Amino acid sequence: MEAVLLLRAGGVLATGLGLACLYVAAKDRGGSRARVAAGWGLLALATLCWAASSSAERGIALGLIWAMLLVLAGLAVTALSTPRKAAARRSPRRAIQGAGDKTSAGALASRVISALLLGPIAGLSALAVSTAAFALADRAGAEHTINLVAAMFLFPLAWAAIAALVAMEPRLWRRAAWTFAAGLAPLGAVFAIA
Amino acid sequence: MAGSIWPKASPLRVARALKAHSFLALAIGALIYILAVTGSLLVFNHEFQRWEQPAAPEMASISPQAAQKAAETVFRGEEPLTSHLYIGFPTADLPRTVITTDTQAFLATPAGEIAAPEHHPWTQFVLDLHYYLHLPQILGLTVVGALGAALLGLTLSGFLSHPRVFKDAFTFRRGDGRVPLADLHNRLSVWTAPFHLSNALTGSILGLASILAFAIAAASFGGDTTKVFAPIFGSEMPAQAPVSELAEIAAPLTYMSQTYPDNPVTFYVVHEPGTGGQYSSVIAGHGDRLIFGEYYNFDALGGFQGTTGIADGTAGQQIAGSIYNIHFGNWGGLPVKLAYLVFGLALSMIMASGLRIYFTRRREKGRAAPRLEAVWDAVVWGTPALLAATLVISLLGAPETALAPVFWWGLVALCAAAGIGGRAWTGIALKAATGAALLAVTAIYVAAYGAAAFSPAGGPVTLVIALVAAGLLVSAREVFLPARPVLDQVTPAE
Repeated sequence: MEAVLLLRAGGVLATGLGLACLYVAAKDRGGSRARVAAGWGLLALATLCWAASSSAERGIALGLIWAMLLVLAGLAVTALSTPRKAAARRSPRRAIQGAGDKTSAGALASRVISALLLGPIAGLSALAVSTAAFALADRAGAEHTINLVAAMFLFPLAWAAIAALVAMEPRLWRRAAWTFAAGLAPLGAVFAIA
Repeated sequence: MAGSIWPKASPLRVARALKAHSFLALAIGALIYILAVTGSLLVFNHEFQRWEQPAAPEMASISPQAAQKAAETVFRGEEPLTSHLYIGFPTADLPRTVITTDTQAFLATPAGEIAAPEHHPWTQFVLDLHYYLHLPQILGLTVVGALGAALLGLTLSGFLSHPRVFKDAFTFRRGDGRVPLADLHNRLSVWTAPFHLSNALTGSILGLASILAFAIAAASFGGDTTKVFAPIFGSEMPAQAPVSELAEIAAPLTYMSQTYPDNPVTFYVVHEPGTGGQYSSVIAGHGDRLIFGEYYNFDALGGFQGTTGIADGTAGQQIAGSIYNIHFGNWGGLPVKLAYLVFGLALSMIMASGLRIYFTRRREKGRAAPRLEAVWDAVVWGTPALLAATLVISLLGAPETALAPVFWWGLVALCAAAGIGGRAWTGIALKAATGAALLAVTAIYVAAYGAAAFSPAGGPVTLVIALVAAGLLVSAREVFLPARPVLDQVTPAE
């Protein structure tokens, strides 16, 4: 019990010191590799302390919670100790004709198509990616449970990546092409080896 | 002076990422905000369950014989046979014994008598809102899972669109206007990223598991979905002909307390009770792990058959067994719950401030959208206001089925009114309305339950609700002042 408390105290201390190093490095606008490295090194040490204080996954989760709470507390102190400034008087630019709440039918249609591409169609593509990954690994002899868990993680991550990256593409037809290609390519791979 | 350690970002990539970030936020920001607010509340769903039924029998533990007696009483009243019979055992945050079938749930006394049906309509309404958005179950789960994936996409595009987000990780400027709001949005986003990334990921995994199972079953198991998850959680036996006796319950519980005294039993499941194939799974906690528990399996006569392997099986089983607790924050007692509440509220603020920044930028560029901005205010403050309003009508006796229509149609009406009426009044008025509704909740609850309102089951939540009501009413006090200066505020484009 005492060892656990010591490890957790060490974890909190290393987290605090690591964050302090990163804070000092961030305030030095020129950057400082040594301080950044020390900060991340101390955070890694804190992670080790937390992982040793319980089961590894629970200890690391507790360490992350402590780190987030410490930073939020530090940010609250920073915010409260910073003098309050009035908002800069930015005179708004003259209203652009046709801007604001009104949207042209063409722009609205483009947005609806984009939403469908980034939502359900990107979702189907991500489903194809994760299903294909599972099927390929299964045929390669991967252990079922870890293969399934990997597919469970891959599905939302692939959906998020496809949606975010395709949304960055300015042309609608390219958005459509990338979204469909992301789904068709893995299906093609599965059929090719079947 | 040393050069910056931070890589230069392409301005074009940043501009495109910002556009993608805004597009995703506009498309699904409101629903993610509702999930963030309800998720923050549901960290304390056990406490709300206790609060809604403060006079229910409570206990630190129940004997194996009493648990079996209560389960048999409920089972004998089932017609037709339930496919599963569950016993929820007392825990620190919900010190009650609950017997549940496919269609009903009852509270038991420490002696094993049935005390009353379980009744927590408002908590169930919020649970259904968070799990399914009140849609049919598989569809609702999938939509909520998709929103989790969208939140991951928002996080990715957010990091890509803010190249200075790590460099400015400790900057926080106070004041009015867009810059302090952007600081709040960016600092909370970066520093609570481990929480909202893990919660979005685990939430989307839970929500999307059903359709992924269908797809994997179709691709690899000839459409048999039972083969997908059986290696992780074990497989169900098919139902057989009815038998007269319910499976032994007291013997497995006695075995657990003698053989695994450090693993408290949290849940008991009788599969296909009252049939020839019935058997039992006891779920027992492992306090030093993130897993929800381990399945200890017993035959109908109470003979131990082994564990499923959630605690010590394959890596895949152990990871899958940890997803639920990571998402719901019920793995470290009250301190972890409070931390999850703080992070959940931070996520709500990230969503609320993000779209506020978007509308402010539009205004500064001469492309103000006052109606949309007012609608966003209605979503941000209408969500808590309507949750409080549904709590009021629930306490006044409205049926559970009435709560979802009141919430959704109320939100539609508030958004329409805000869009027509402009944003000057929206936020502050709805904040005041939330405070007033919560004050009404406190008064109605105390009037309805008397001394039980101040019991360990009722008192803490009542106190917190009263404090939140007071805080909201004080912060929205301009509404009640004669001059009402807020009504004079007019957005530049108006």
